[in-house]
Formats: sequence, structure tokens, C-alpha cells
Amino acid sequence: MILVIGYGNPLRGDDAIGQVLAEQLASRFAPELLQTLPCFQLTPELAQPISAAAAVLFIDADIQLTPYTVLYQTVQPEPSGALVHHVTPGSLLTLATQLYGRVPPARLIRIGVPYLEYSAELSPSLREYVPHFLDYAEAILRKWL
Amino acid sequence: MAKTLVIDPVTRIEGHAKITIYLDDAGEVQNAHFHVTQVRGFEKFCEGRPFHEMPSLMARICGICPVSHLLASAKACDGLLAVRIPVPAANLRRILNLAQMIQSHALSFFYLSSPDLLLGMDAEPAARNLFGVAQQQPQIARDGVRLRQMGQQMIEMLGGKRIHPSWVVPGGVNAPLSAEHRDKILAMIPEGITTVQRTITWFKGVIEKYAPEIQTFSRVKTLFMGLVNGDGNLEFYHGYLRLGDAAGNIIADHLDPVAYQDYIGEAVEPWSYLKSVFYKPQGYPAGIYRVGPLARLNVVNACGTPLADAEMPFFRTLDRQSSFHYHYARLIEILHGFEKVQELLHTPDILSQRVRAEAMPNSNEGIGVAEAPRGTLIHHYKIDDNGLITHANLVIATGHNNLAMDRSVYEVAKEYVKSAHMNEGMLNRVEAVIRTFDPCLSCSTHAIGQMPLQLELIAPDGTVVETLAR
Repeated sequence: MILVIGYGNPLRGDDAIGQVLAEQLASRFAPELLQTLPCFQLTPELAQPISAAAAVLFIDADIQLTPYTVLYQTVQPEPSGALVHHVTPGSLLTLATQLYGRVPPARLIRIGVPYLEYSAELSPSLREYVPHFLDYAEAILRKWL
Repeated sequence: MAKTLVIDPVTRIEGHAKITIYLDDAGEVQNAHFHVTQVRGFEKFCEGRPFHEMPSLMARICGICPVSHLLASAKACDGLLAVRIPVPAANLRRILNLAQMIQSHALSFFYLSSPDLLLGMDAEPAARNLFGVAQQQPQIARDGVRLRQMGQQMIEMLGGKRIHPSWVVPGGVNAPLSAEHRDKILAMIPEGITTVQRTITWFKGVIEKYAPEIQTFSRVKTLFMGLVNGDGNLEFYHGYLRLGDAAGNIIADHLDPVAYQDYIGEAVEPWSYLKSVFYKPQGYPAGIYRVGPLARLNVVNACGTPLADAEMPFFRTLDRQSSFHYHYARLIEILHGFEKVQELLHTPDILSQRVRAEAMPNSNEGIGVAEAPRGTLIHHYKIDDNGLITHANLVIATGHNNLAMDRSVYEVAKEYVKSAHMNEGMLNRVEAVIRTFDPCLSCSTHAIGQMPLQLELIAPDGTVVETLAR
């Protein structure tokens, strides 16, 4: 089963794009093929489902990218920082190896977003791109399956 | 020459704080303070809101212990409705609270404190975290991650989501428990018990290694307070408040939590945004007391579940004034949590469809008290005749512990901080005593009277243009 982890703060406007996409991708796949975990932030507890997955796709907002663009990259295991509350995809892969002896292939979709202001909704301009991002992520996942 | 050391930020705790250590001319510690440097202000900005919003609003105080605020707030709202909620609803709220105890205690012990216990207080700071523990002691890290995961999964199955579930409402809960979720939670219990017992066995085997810290962390002498049930046993949801000392003597018992203002006072000190809470009959600051796992196990007759009670004889051999023993008490409470969840899920009406008492407001004042992972939590609301909040007072668990934390950093700094031979491990021990309390600082600071405030207007080049203070 492939695991999709979409993360971000749903009260900080476009930061929620990862969660939104993870939630909506679930309806495009049979449940036995895809597990989605929308979450507020990356935490050590994710190491266990990561270690059990055939492959992992992380999805996150990125204010430093040009808005509405997408960067798709491989994630490698990396050492953690000193602060457990700033967990990265790479450090989770390391933790999965250390605790459960297994790490699957992993990729990260970074989505350029324009606004991280206090808001419980995506900005209208980003919302228009959601179908495009869903199609993009779905195409990646279907290649893996 | 006199010197000031500042630990900023205090690491591996929830929230923002700093510690200041004042050294005299000889380099000896003269004083130290624990400063909580953040203000949340929920007590003020909820004024004017409809009371039925309060549980959801108050849950947003915290992302680690939102369930505690949900429960205390809902109980205060039950008081405003003047209802007695259905027994199945009370038991479901209890199970949710126990699930939170499990996940929050697991976070504190394994993620925040185990790096010190396993890797050593003097270990390299960059490795002194959960990832460092995973590298050197993967079984313990695995157990911590799994316990936290189980607690969160229980919360999700009960309340719909892991953080800020909206399931707890004034009058009860907004949906009954399904048989499917009951069975899934029950299926987790044996693994949970085995996992925490494995850690308890390890911890009891190594506890003597920490004799110096245990001794230093016991220098602050206080009373202890916690909820107990009608049998004087451990109770997290509803009961009486009891105060006792470390020798097991009961100082005050059968205290009505709703009448908390008769015996609990709150003071403000200039070095912290956190209120200092004290036991009124002994005055301020002599009425210093602690709450939380160590306090609860110090005041109870028993836990009331067999495996947790099997740990109590050993617990009672320890120097129970020492804040170090919060760690062991936390593990015992995790064990009790699994046992009690199992017991409650087997009550005959736990799947009842009757889980909410409906009413309009029938009182203009409501007080809700429950035990949070960190100690006794009080939500006190007043409403007008339209049901809008006119006044809110929150007495947060960490606030009860403020005086003890402040004194503890002084005692530990006095023992370990020597200016002539300074090293990072000394300062880590000062932080470590704070970690034993597992403070939740984001929860803890709201308002009392008029807050001291300083505003600085700073130009783009960093120059302070104007300062206003009150």
C-alpha cells in the first residue's frame, strides 16, 4: 500500500494545501491501494506507518517557491535536528530505519503558495489550482502502483 | 564579579520559558527564577462568546492536552445548564481523558525526558533527543512512539480526530461509542500494558543511577493536591480534592472542587506571566503545593486497578518529595490508564445511545474541575442571561506548580552551577528539574487583573523609538 502524508496548518491559509490534497486523493483510489494521513505537522509517530508502506509521498506547502509551481524531489534519510518538533521527511525515514528496520522509497511534492496568513481556508487563487495538483499527484501515484 | 546566566529557551518542554541564574561575586548561585515568557489571554478574549462555544474554544489552548480543557470546560458548561449528564456520557468522557493521559505521559517520558535518562545529563546536546534515543536504545524509543500512537488512536476513535476533537459538548458527548471502536480499543489494551510494563521494569532497574539528582530535586518541600474518588482512590474526571504531604498524611480532604476559591489563591510575580497558585490556609508563599502524577499518587489510598496498585509498594519506598519521581509516577498512570479504559469499556451501558442531557442555561455560573496529565485543571465561567460569557477564570495545572518550579530551579542551580567550572551538563540539570513537572506553558498563562506590559516601538534599523510601560 502506498502512503500519502499531506501536512500543514489548516489555520494558516495556504499552508493547509498538503492536508487538502491528502484528504481529496483518498477518494481517487481504492482504500486497499492508498492510505492517506493528513496531519498538522510531521511527528515521530509517523515512522511506523512509513516503515510499513510500499512507498511514501509527502506533500507540503512552500512559501519560498514561486506560487502555484510544483517541485518534485526524492527524499533520502537524513540525520535529525536537535529539536523533535521540527521533524523533516528525511529524519522520519531515518527513524523508520532505526526503529523498524525498513525504509521505503519516498518522494516529496513541494507546492509554491502565496499566502500563509491567519485563515481557515485556502486563498481563492490557490484553490483554483487544486484540481491541477490533484491530477499531478494522482499521475505520480498511478505510476507507482 | 556578579554574573547572570540565562537559559533561553528551556528545551524539551511544551511552550516558551527561560531560566535566569544570578551568581554573586564569588561565582556562587545567589538566586534563580523560572520565567514563562508567553501570554495566551484566553480568559479575556472569550468574554462575549456564547457559552456553548467554550469547549471547542478552550481546546485550542493546547495541542498536547486539548482533551483536558475540553473536559473541564464541558463540566463548567454542565454547571451552567445545571444538568447531571448520563452515566454513559461521563464514562465516555473518562475514557477520553485516560487516552489523553496515556499519550501525553508517553510524550513527556519518552520524547522529552528519556534523552536525559538514557543518554545522560551530560550527553552532547545535538544527540540528546528522541532520535538519539532511537539510535542507542531503539526498543525504548519504539515503545514510546507506540504508546503515544495508541493514546492518539483511542482519542481519534472516540472523538473523531486526534487533536481538538469536538466530541465533548455541554451536557455530555455528541455521539455514542460504536461497538466497532469499542472492540478496536479493547484489542489495544494487552499490547499497551505489556509495553509500559517493559519500561517500568527497565526504569526501576536503573533508578539508583540518578541518586544525586533525586536528592537535589527533593530539596523543595511542598504539599500535594489531586482529585480522589469516594474511596480515596485515583480519579481523573470527577471527585473531591485532597491535599497531603509526602509522608502520606492528609492535610485537607473532601474539598469541594466547585468551592476552589475558598482554599486556592492566585498571585502574580513580576518575573513571569504565569500566575503563582497557593493553598490559602497556609498563605502565600508558604502554601506552596504540587499537582500532577507525583502529587496524585502521593495523596491517593490506591490507584484502584490491580497492576498499577502492584507498583505502589515500591513507589512508597521512594523519597516522594523528589520531583524526579514524577517520571515513575507517570509510568504508573499510563499503566492505570490502560487498565481503567478496559474496565470502563466493559460497563454494560457503554454503547448507550443516551449520551447527552439537553437544557438551556439554568445558572449564571459554572465551574468544571478535572485532572489533566499535568495536574488539576479548573475552568470557571460566568454568563449573562443571554448565555454570553462575562467572566472566565482558568487555573491551569502548570500554574499550581509554578512556585515549586521556580524554587526548584534555584535549588538545582545552587547544587550544580559553579561558575569556576561551568559546563553545559550543569545547565541541563536545571532544565531537567523543570522537565520532571512536564509543564504545559502554552496552557498556563492567561490573565489576572491588569497585566504588567511593556511596549517598544522599534524602527526598521532596530533603534528603539519609544517605550510604553504599565
